[in-house]
Amino acid sequence: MLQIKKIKIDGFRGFPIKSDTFEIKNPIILFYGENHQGKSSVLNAIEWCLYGDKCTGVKSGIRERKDWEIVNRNSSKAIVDIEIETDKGIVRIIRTESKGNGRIERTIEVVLPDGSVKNEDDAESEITRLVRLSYMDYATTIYQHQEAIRAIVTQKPSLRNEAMDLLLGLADYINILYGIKMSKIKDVQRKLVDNFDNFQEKVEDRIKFRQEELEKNKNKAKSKGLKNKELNEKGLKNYMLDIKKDTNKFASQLGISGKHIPFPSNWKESSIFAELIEEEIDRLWSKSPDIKGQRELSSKKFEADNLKEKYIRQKKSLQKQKTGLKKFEKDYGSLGEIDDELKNIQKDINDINEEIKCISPKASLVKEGIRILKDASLSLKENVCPLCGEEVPNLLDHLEKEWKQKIKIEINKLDSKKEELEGRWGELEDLQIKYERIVKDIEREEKELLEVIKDISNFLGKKFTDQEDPLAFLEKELGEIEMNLKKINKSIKNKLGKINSIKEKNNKIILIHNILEQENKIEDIMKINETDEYKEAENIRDILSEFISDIEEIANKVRECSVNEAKNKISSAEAAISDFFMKITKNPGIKQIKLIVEKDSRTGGNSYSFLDQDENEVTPILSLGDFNSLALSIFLGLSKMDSESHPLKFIIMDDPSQSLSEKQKKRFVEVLEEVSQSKNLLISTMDTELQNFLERLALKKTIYEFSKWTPDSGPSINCRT
Amino acid sequence: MKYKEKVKEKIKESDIRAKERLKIWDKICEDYEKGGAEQVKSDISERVNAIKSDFDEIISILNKML
Repeated sequence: MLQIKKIKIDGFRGFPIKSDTFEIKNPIILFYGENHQGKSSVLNAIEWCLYGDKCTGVKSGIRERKDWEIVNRNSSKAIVDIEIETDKGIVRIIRTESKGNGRIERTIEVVLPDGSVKNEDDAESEITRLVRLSYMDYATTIYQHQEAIRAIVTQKPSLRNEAMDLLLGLADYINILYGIKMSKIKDVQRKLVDNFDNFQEKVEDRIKFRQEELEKNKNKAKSKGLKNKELNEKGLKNYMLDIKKDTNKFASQLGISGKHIPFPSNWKESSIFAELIEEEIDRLWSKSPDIKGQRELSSKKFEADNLKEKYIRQKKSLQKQKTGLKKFEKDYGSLGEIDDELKNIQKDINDINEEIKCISPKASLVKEGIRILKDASLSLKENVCPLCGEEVPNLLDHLEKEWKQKIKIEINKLDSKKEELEGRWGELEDLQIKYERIVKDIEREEKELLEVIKDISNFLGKKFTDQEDPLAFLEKELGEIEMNLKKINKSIKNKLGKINSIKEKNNKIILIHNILEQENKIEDIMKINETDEYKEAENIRDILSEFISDIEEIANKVRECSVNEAKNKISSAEAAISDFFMKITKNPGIKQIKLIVEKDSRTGGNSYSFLDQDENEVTPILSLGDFNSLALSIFLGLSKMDSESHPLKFIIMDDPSQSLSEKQKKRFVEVLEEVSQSKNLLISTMDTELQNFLERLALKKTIYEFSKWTPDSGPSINCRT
Repeated sequence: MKYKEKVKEKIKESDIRAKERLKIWDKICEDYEKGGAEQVKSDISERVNAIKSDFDEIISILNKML
């Protein structure tokens, strides 16, 4: 038998620093104190030291252990060191976990009674050999977790089945079933089957669509004069032979050697054949003499039309210039007349200049005479002007004034005439320039006309005399071109009929080819389920179906094992469970309690019923305390039944009295006294009533009182025995 | 006997695809011990999704044949 003797904790969960040694000498060890004082950490330390990783995380079967921290936040390393007494002596187990630099390091060491040391995997194997109990069995028969009681007491009735599974140590089954369920394989299978069904529908749709297209093409063929009996490979072949003959004949008619077009070996190549025929027809046609002649004549006609247009335009332009000159001469006279008038004006201006010149010296002379007369005070007949004969008071002054007036009028008259002549002179000079410009324009137009005539001459290959009209010759040539073009066009029209006939046949070949292709495609689609690809799709669908069926069958086996294990455990412990339950609850209405487990037809999981002596369901009348008692009874019952299969001589209970009444606690302690005859009890509680009841027991006990816990130093522990 | 062996025995009792199912069960147990229910879920999902992906590929080829 194995008995824990000492526990040392350092840096583990509620213990930031090294604890005093917990000595386990007496049948009852009580860890007492308020919540969060480190009591549970002592119990967890034993569990972790024995099972390591197996008791952490969700795989432990305890939801609260998700993200469970082993190393205290104020410490870098957790060390749990326990001593276990065996038949051969003391075995020491030291487990550590350290964190730092983002890495976690773990060690395990076992020191055997002979002093030999085992590490890591060897140490784990040694512990397994020693304890002979899986973690799940340990969690249900050695260590009563407070979470197990909390679950069964506080969970809704619908979730109590799950809590019972955990209480019976079926977490592995439940977790695996949960993993399978969450993989949602049925959804994937449904999608795949839907995809396959959609594909089948698409096949039907495509066949329908192709058949409609085929029908359209057949109607088109009918409208093109094709008969039903021609819409096959034979009909296609006949058309191809026919068209090949026609093409060769057409080439020889044109006098051009035809290209070799290979005859298709099967109907599928007929579309290429039709393309080659089309190309050959186009080639022959582009090289035919008629087309060449048509091209040449059209080009010649184009050139002649251009020359004609140019000639007429140039001629018109020249004529316009000449008409302009005539109008000019009519309006302003000829160049000679303008020259003559210019000469006359020149002469008149010269005469006026001479006259002015003569008047000026005479005026000076008169003026001088008057001055001399004034100076000499020459006595003239006073008051009678010799010029005007009028009687004036101051004759000399009068003479001077009169003289000035007469001279001025005369000169002004001459100046005015001269100005008039000079104006005309300017006009005539402008006319002279205009005339010369018109003459130059006429010369240029004449030159350009000569150029056009030269072009016409080159085009016709004939030199023109002055008496010949190039336009007449050009029009004659144009007439001949148009006549020849008409002849060629008529010939082309005849040949085009032949081309169209060949092309029409070629279109029929394409149409029959398309019909055959569509028929073939429809046949292919109809036979798609015979293809390797389709068979492969069916195969994959079957593989998935088989895999899913395997998984479902495995899940069924897991459920079967789960329900069997639950049944076996309940069956072997049922009497003890009922006995403990009756002792703790003393419920007068319940004389016996039976646990029935069945497979839930709806969820596939285990379904638990709790029946009384009359086979009536008792859960509707159970209080929370009764449920707590039921959980404790199941744990103690399983623990009692399982004790022969392993050597551990202790059980651990964490906060067992959560919902018990005072009387239930008292009776529970009586039950514990009975259990302690065969096993040491390690109990953690914050319940003062439970503590009092336990202290009153006439058994040796050690009481560790936990208080004043701080993050830096952990709990303050007072030990009493 | 642990859960692994118990389920294994149950699977062996059946004549249908026992060998294949035992192989699948071993893998489930291996995944479970490695990463719990989450690992079981992700491995099964991965396997069925791989099969579905092959199926989708072949359906895509078949669609092109229509």
